[in-house]
Order: sequence, then C-alpha cells, then structure tokens
Amino acid sequence: MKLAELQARFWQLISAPETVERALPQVAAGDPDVAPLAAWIRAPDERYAIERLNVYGNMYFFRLLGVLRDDYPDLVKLLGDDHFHNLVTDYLAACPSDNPSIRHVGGRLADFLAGHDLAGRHPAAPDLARLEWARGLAFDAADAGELDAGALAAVPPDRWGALRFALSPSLRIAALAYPAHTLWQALERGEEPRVLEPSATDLLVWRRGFTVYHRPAAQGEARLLALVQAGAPFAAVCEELAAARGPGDHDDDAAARAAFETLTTWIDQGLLSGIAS
Amino acid sequence: MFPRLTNLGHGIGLRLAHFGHILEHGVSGVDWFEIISENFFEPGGRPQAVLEKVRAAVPVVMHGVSMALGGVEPVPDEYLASLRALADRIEPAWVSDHLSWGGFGRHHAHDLLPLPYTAEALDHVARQIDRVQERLARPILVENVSTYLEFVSSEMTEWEFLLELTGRTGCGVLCDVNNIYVSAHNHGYDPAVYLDALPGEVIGQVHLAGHTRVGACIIDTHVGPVPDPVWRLYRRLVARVGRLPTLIEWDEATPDYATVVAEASRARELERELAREAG
Repeated sequence: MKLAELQARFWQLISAPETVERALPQVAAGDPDVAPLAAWIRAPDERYAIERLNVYGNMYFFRLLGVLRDDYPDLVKLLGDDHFHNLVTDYLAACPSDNPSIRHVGGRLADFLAGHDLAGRHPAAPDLARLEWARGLAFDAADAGELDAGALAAVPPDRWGALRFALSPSLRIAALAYPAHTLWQALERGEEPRVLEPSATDLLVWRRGFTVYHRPAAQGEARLLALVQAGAPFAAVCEELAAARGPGDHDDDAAARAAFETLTTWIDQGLLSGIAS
Repeated sequence: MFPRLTNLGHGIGLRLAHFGHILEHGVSGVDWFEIISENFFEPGGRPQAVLEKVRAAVPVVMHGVSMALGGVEPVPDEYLASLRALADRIEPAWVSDHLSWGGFGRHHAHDLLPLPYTAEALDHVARQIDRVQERLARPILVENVSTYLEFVSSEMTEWEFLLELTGRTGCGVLCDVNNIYVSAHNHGYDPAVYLDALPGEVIGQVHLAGHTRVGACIIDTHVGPVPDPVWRLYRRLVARVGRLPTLIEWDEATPDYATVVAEASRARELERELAREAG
C-alpha cells in the first residue's frame, strides 16, 4: 500500500468524531479496502486493530480538547464540561486544525460557535470566546516599550498635531455584539453569570509587562485607535473628535481638551508604544 | 556521517509549570534545557522572557513536534522559516524532531503518527530530511516515537529504517529510551535488541520519560518519574556507548522544578556509578 493511501485512511479513521468502530462504515463507503483492518494493520484480529487505532483517535481528540480548554477556560465554565466537550467534537469535525502549530487550533471556535445550537442557549458565548482568544493573542504578542509622558512633554505642543503614535503591538480590538467582559468577570470570580442583553461593545485587549488587560472602548474610541493604527497624525484624531461633537459645537478648547484626555488615557494605560514620527 | 555533538550533560524540558520559578530564581541544577520549538514561535511576552533568561544561563536545544517528516505533504515553507528564525535567534546546540507523520492534506492531527517502514517511506523521509537540513543549514536529530500499532506493509524494523536514514542524510538519532520500551512492549519485541542496534556515534541525545499502562498497551504519557525498566535500558546504553546528553521529559502533572531537576541528577549519578565500575 502506498504511503499516501495509508495515511489518508488512517487519518479518516482517527479524526472521525466518536470511535473508529463508528467511523469504519463511512470510511469503507469511499475506500472499500479499509476492511479488514488486519489486512494492513498487524493484528491477530479486528478487535485488536480497532483498539490500537482508538488509542490514536483518543489521543487526537483529547490532546486538542485539552488545548482548547486551556484557551477558553471561561467558555468551559459558561457551557459546562459536557457541552464544551460536544462543541469541540463538532468543531474539530467541521474545522480540523490547518496550522502545523497547535496554538492556532482554536482560532475559528468563536465563529463556529456562533452557528452552533449552543449559541441559541448562550447567545453571548461566541463573544466571550472572542474575548478569550484576543487575550491569548495578546499574551505572547511582540514586546514593545511604552510611550512615556515625559517624552511627549519634550515635544512643543504646536508640533503635537504632526505626531504619529505607535500602538502597543499587543493591542487587539474585538468588535462584539454583547458586553462579554461582564460575563468574563463574573466567571473569573466564580459568580453565576447573568443573561446579557445585546449591546454593541468594542473591547480593547492588550498586554503590559506579562499581564493582559481588557476594557470596553469609550464611544468612538475604537475609530480613533484605528486612525492611529493606520498611521494618521494626531491632528486627524483631534479632527475626528471634533467632528464627533457635532457641527453645532464650536468649542475648540473643549475638543482640544477631549483629545488631550484621550491621549493621556492611552499613555497611562500603556496603549501607545512610542512616537512613530 | 552525523557529526558527534558536544556532550551537554543533563537537561530538562522547559515547561510552563516552571516559568514562574525560573523568572524568580533563575536556572539551577541542570546543564541545559530543551524547548518545544513551536511554543516559542510567537514573538513576545512571558515565554520569550523565560527563554532569554534560560538561554543567557545555559545551552538550549530546539525540539519540534510539528515537522511531520513522514507526512506525504512537504514540510511547509512557512513552518521551516519560523523554525530557522528561532534557531538564528537563540543559536540552539542542535535541532530535533520526530520520525512520524502528523496529518493529511491541509489538516494536522498534532500527534506523532506511526509510519510503515517501507522503501517508499524511506526514500520520502530521506528527501524531507535533506530539504529540512538544507533550510536549517544544520544536521538534525530524528527521534524514534512510541507506537501503538504496526503496518503489514513494513519491510524492515524501525531501527533499520532509522539507521538507513542516518546513512543517507547525515542526520543523527535522538534516542528516546522510554519510546523504545513502550513500542517494544506494545509490539512484543525485546527493547534491548533495538537499543543494541544503535551505534553510539549516531546518537546525539537521549530522552527519558515516564509512561502509563492502559490495559495491554503502554502509552507514552510523560507522566511521573522515569520507570525502573527504562532506567535499566538507559544504563545498558551508557555502559555500551559512554555518556550522552540526556534529557528528562515530564509533561503531565509536572511537579515543581526541584523534583524534575532531581530526576535529571539521577541520570548523572548513574553515569558516575558506571564510570566508577569501569575503574
């Protein structure tokens, strides 16, 4: 038997949901020579071959289940062990890992969950998963320093408008339909989570030192950060803020104060890694 | 021929359970660390900080789990580029991965799956190793894995296959003594026959680990201390070929740093005992 044929057969049998016994008829439909197993696996009988294939099938499933449990600890708490197990069974059947590195295996779980029956019972669960995944990405994102308020103070204020700031490379903005951070907090504290009403929420997720943080963005803040990320100068951030105040508002000082406060918050929270230019 | 590597002495695997200890107290009690290469592909945060600290103190060896040398698909370019970038950065004493395959088509099992030991597979794996060694600009070590079944189509033993690979490609062997024990038990052969067939000059490194008996099968779980029969095989190997860089793997229910280090010291003590016996 050719190597490719053997591996195709073996892979189908061990990656099938549930056991090798149950997968066999389905695999045999496309590959009639799969049975008897003892014709290609050294085994005294079929029972032995099935047992040994199941060793691989179990290792495949339980290794990935373990990784996903580590990636989504609060989702496990929300759904419960059994439902999470079943979710992973369905997920791996629909979205087998497509990256050689195991750390990416859970990258599509939130979107998959959004279309799964469990989302009917737990509508905020996909957003909780998005938050947990973003926190995982921030955990080992590239290191960077933080912009120091002193460095900014050294720049004459009339030149601030031309400054372009660099965001922390760990910063992710998760656009959510539910305020999943409140759910996350309850689950982290071991409290009974309450049912959430939908409310569009942009969550900022980033790392300082070795600690990952998240918070809901202020009104319009995600748009401002997107401008910074796109390389826009600070003047563009100020213009966006002024525009957001509405055409009737001509209080330029108030707009400037709002821009300064936003910038101060970003610096205090370590969202900016430096001045790009 | 595989170039004999420096004897680094006794090491342990760098594991998440010990990150806190290492960041706080630094490295002590071991001569070197082995990292799971893929766990350090991401650019920053705590994992990189720990790796930097370890690398500044002792030599580091890169051990991958995703190369899937026996897979019908070529080892992905992107994966090899990540591996090369990490190697260029941390300058490992050497790089290793497994004699196995790990998925089909675009899909990955993240497991070390068994190969049929055929002429076709040998040609294929040798070509893959040649390409990997060229991309990484260094010879690699290839580790024997624990297996739970064998294929009717196999035309040679696993050790014959492995030795043929070393001859064709210049790679070395990462001899996992526990895996030899586990596979020999699962397939009913004498592990000493396998072990004795490996010439000392092709062995670049040794792995020792624990396993778990499940019914008639033994599973390579890397849990618990190294079992006595595995120590006996290790002793047999060192008595025959001399000292080898030896690493303890303890991945499940990993105990505190000192306990894993003590297990590595047991291997060191065994070497000394053999040296005393030899006079």
